[in-house]
Amino acid sequence: MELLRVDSISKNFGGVAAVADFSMSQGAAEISAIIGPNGAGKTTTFNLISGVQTVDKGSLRFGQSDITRLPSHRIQALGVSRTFQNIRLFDGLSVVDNVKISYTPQLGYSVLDELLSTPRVRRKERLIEERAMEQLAFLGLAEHAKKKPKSLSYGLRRRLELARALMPEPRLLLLDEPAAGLNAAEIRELMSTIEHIHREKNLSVIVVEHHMELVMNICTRIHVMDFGRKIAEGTPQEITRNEKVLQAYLGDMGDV
Amino acid sequence: MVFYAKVLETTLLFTMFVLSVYMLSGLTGLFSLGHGAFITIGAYTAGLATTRFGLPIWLSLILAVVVGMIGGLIIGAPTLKLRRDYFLLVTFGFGEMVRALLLWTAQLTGGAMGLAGIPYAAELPLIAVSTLVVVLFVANLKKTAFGRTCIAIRDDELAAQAMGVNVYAHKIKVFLLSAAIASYGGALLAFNMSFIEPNLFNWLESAKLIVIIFVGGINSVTGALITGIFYYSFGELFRFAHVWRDVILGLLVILVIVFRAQGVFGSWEFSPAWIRSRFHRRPARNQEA
Repeated sequence: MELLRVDSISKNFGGVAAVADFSMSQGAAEISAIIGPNGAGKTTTFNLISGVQTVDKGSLRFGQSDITRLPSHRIQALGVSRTFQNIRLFDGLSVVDNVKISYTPQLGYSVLDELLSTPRVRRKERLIEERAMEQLAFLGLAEHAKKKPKSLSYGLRRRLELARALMPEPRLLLLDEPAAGLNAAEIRELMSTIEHIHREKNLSVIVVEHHMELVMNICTRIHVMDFGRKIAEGTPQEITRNEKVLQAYLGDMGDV
Repeated sequence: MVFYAKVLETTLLFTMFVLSVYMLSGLTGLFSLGHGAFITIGAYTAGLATTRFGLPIWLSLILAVVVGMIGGLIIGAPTLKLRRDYFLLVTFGFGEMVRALLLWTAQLTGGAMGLAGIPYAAELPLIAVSTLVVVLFVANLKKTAFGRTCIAIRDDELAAQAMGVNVYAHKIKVFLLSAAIASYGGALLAFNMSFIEPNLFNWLESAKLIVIIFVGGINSVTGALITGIFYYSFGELFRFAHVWRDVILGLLVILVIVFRAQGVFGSWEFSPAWIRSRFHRRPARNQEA
């Protein structure tokens, strides 16, 4: 079943085409990857899907809804959640409160309730606290709940972003370079976490990633981008044999 | 005694203004140099309602809040989408505009001569209860989803929006609440002083409110509260020190900002739980001994 349909989207910054005529289809329980050299337009594609930026041309469909022109908070409410390449946590909030933020719109109580701190608010606050703690426990962060994000190690901050993205129980998870800055052991851990999440919560995952081992091991479908365009699509086996890809991407890696 | 009661009244009123700015600047990171405009709007609405239209005090207070919030909506709706530095400039302009408007409509407002003869209706009990209620409101908001969302917006607007927060709608809510508190306090101020004039609360006074919040610590309502009380009572009680008063305070502000950027109180909050934790620790120590 198709969950996300990206239909020839384009985005220009000044004269530069960051994304040009990019299309993809994502199944409801699929793990796929978008790869490509630096500056290929992968992160911009994520920004367009999650509504952080709006497309110049083309359209986006998620489930039954047209999300082309929706602001990011509406797209999130439909079930698209994401992480950021350069970790963007809320430093003024504790670890557990960071996780709670992404669930706030579902709480549904008014400012007046909160001013008076009514029993309804207190009950819901207890509920959200429990849920957030479960989420932290699921990713092994429970002991850090009361700390500030800044005091966590880089790897733990990445995991916290993942916890925050999972809190609203999304249907589609966008992971922007989840392995960046992690060591080999942490990457293996991340791979099993992603597979675990995928199995357990039965959700659809798209990763943007440079780390080929991760991409080849966990993804069933790979989209390759170069200069904003899609140059190839296929299973990991097909991609590793693709001439164009070897030239544009893996070729560069061979030089190193 | 009358003098000290007066100092206390003024201090509590100004503390209420500090709290209204705390929500906007401390929690949400929006800086307004025109916050005094809402105080002035509240004061003049209440003053005019009673002296010119003979409305009862309670109705004038409600009216002041309503007019303040309408003003907030008019200025907030188009500007809260702007970048924060532009928002600051626009609010500054708004403050000057309100002042000019009061001078310009002299026949109704008394213009530069001010508005006198407002009934003295806000005495210490009313002011104290009002301030207490506002403290509880702000403390409640900070603890729950509303306050968390404010802090998320302050720290990273883009990420907050991507996490499902309707940033613009939330900023409007914060701004209106803040305007409501400020104009309510402004109305009380009018009923306390009996005489008001357009320079009642200029942009410098608005800027002081922001400075107080930074000295107290943007993550602490307690900090805003205590620093506000200290600053405004210090100002009144140390009048004999003349110009040196401002020099001493200025020096204190610089020292705090340089040596303790997170503010005097950091993110510490006074709460029943904190008191309990103080008492529970003692027996534990005795056991060790």
